Amino acid sequence: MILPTRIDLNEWFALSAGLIGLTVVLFLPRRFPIAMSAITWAFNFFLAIVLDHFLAGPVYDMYDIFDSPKYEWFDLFTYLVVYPPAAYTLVYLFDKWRLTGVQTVAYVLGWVLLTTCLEWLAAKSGIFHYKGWKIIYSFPTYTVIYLINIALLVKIKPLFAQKTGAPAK
Amino acid sequence: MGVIAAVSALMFSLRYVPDALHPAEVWFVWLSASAVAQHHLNLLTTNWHWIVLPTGTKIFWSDEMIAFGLIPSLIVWLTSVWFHSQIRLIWKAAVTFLWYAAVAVGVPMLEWVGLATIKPGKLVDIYVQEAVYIAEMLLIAWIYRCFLVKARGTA
Repeated sequence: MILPTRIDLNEWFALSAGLIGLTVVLFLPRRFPIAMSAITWAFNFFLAIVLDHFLAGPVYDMYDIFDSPKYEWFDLFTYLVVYPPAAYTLVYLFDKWRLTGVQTVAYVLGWVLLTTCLEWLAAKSGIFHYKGWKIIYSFPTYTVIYLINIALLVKIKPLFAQKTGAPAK
Repeated sequence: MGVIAAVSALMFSLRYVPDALHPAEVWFVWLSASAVAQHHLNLLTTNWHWIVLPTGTKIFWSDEMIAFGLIPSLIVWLTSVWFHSQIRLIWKAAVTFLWYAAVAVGVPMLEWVGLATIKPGKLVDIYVQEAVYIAEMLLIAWIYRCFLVKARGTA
């Protein structure tokens, strides 16, 4: 894998975003078992790497990430450390505040606005180099991603509420 | 169509994974296997060019279905064998070998059916990469099981 020849603004932006996200997650009081949080983490790692492959890959080629079209260490860092904490915080607060109906719509739209603005900043810092992609496309994309995250939370939470059925050691 | 049918059948079969795997493990292992498969695919295709994927949209989606549907589903089944308490180690090793052999045969077949081109002299390196992938996934599944056993007492 490729390391950047020098740490530019885009790498500093990713490092700062990852550090802030991890700090927030670590300082939040424990709400879910680690095994449950790990599914949220894996799901967002999966979404990030798969969507980037679809959208930035050779077929659609709508944007490049970081300094080259190649797969860099900072790409992996972004998939593993930058995106998942945001989604974890989203589902954490959704669960904590027990949102329903219109509240959920407003909550998701708020997150979508926030992350679209952050993506705009990330593009300005040089993390994303848009070719055919437009920032307006990110709005529906994040909406779907966050709704799926909430649906996943609703689906997997009962798996951890029941004591029976967990594997024996 | 063949790829879509095979992947759909395999993903549907995950509903019948034995009790050796907790449903949360099925979720986690499938998602991780898919993401890690993509990580390896990025290295093989984008950085090292050991595998060249044709740029046609249909072929692209067939390759993606294999990477994101077929391989992760097979990994979940393999993990269920490894975590089954009544299967002896020798059989677990045999199933893993068969799994690996099937994937090893599958790589040249991808080239044969026109879904990929293998860089000459790199087939053995690709096999090593596949072995690393299987080892990584079994390790990740085992670590997750440790967390799950812990959650059993705290959830």
